[in-house]
Amino acid sequence: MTNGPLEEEEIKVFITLNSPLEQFAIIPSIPVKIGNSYSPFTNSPLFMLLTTGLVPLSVHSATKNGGNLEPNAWQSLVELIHDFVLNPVNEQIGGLSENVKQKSFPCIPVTFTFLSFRNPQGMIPYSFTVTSHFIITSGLSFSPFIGITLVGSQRNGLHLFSFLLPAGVPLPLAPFSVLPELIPYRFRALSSGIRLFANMMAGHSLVKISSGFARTMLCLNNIMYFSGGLGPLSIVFALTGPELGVAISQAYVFTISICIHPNDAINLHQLQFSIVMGLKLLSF
Amino acid sequence: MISGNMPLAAILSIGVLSSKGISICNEETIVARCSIGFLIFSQRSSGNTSKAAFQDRIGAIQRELQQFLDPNEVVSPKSKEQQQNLRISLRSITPEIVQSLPNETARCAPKCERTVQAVSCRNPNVESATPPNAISSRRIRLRNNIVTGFHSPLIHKFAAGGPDAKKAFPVEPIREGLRRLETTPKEFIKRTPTSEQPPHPRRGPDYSRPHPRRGPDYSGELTPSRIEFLISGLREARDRRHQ
Repeated sequence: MTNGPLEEEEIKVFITLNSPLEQFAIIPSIPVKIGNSYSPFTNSPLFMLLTTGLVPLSVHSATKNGGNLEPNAWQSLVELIHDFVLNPVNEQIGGLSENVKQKSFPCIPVTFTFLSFRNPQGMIPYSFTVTSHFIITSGLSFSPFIGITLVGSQRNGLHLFSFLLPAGVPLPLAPFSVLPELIPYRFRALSSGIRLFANMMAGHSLVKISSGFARTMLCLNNIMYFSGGLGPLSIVFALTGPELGVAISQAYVFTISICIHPNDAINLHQLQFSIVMGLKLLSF
Repeated sequence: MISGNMPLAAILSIGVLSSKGISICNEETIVARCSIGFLIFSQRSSGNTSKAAFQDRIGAIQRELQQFLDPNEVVSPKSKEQQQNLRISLRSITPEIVQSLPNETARCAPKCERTVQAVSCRNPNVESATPPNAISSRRIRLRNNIVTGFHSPLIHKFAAGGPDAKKAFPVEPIREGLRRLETTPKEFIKRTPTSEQPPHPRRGPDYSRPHPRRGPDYSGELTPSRIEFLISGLREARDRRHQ
């Protein structure tokens, strides 16, 4: 361990330290200037295009010509992803609206596949995690929310607001219950976006911080620092698995939240209403 | 021995590389190396598990496909030309069935075509020299499987009563064609004595009630001439639907 002033190499190590948040920086890749507006093609849409191009291509190649009757491993993987998403759709979007289930199904596996391939993308060196930006995740969460609310209002009209009235509340209290319930209703979409963004940013930041710490210790050419640097290195190694697990589980949680919205907005309190009406009829 | 020394070798290599500044120059390379190491570690520890899971799934699908074949049937050699002709005739049914599907199901047409092909073309391999009662029971089972296989996944789509329900069920052209087989001229039907017909599954081998529509001598065998008759029936039904 050196006791004197820092050596040149140590100074170089400290100077070249990168911030752990640099991986989330938006960097213009292709400058595009239209008149007075400057709208460059940045790394965010670049990686979005990469994902949306490569994933359908790989799915198409795995299931070429409709696939084989006896699937290979890749085709099995695609089919497992399809079945994995089909279960929550059947469970959450259930009830009377069979048509709604079928119409909303294509959006849900696309969202799941999109997120499950995009979330772990940040683990690739020099790549960019698209879902680590709140604007992206809030767009992903609010767009189905707005669409489902529009569909629900089209189907049920003003009766849509009955969903905001908890079952068993007397009618005079309805205005005092429905209006405050609007806030948590909107916060469902917001919470989905925040959950995904926070998990991705926190996880990738932690990995980058640990790897930066390990790199600093390893590159100081000192046996003591080297032995100490193995600790953060093992942390990075151990974090890789959970980070991949969090990426895929967050994609699944986001997908589940999208599945819950149609059931609530369209079916409303179907089951609860029927139970309440049945109990009222019995009481007469 | 080698796997036990792997962590030690990794640590030593990291020490050497980091001291020289080779390939461990920034955080990204450390993350990349740890990711690769994790993938190798997980492959060694649980790679066989995932492979076995995939193999189990493939095996289960193969067993389901094998249900179309009776495992007790024995394939004995037959003239290759006759087999080839029958195979070609059976394959020629497939486009007719697929074309009669509504537009919404045309997306799965390649898969449907493959399914029908795989189901129907297993027949020539088996029907060659098996006993007539086994052949006839398999014919009936195959016909019902093809019809049910098209009917059940699509009934949810068309049963809602929407605009799709106005289009004919894809099974209708098939049933139309098969219904025509009931009225086939007598020379197309191979007469099989009642005693050689397959035993009733519930009422036992002594049950001898003849088929109410097809008569006592109906054997259910799909001869090439009957297949051509079936195809013409499918075409007529399709033309009628398009009118």
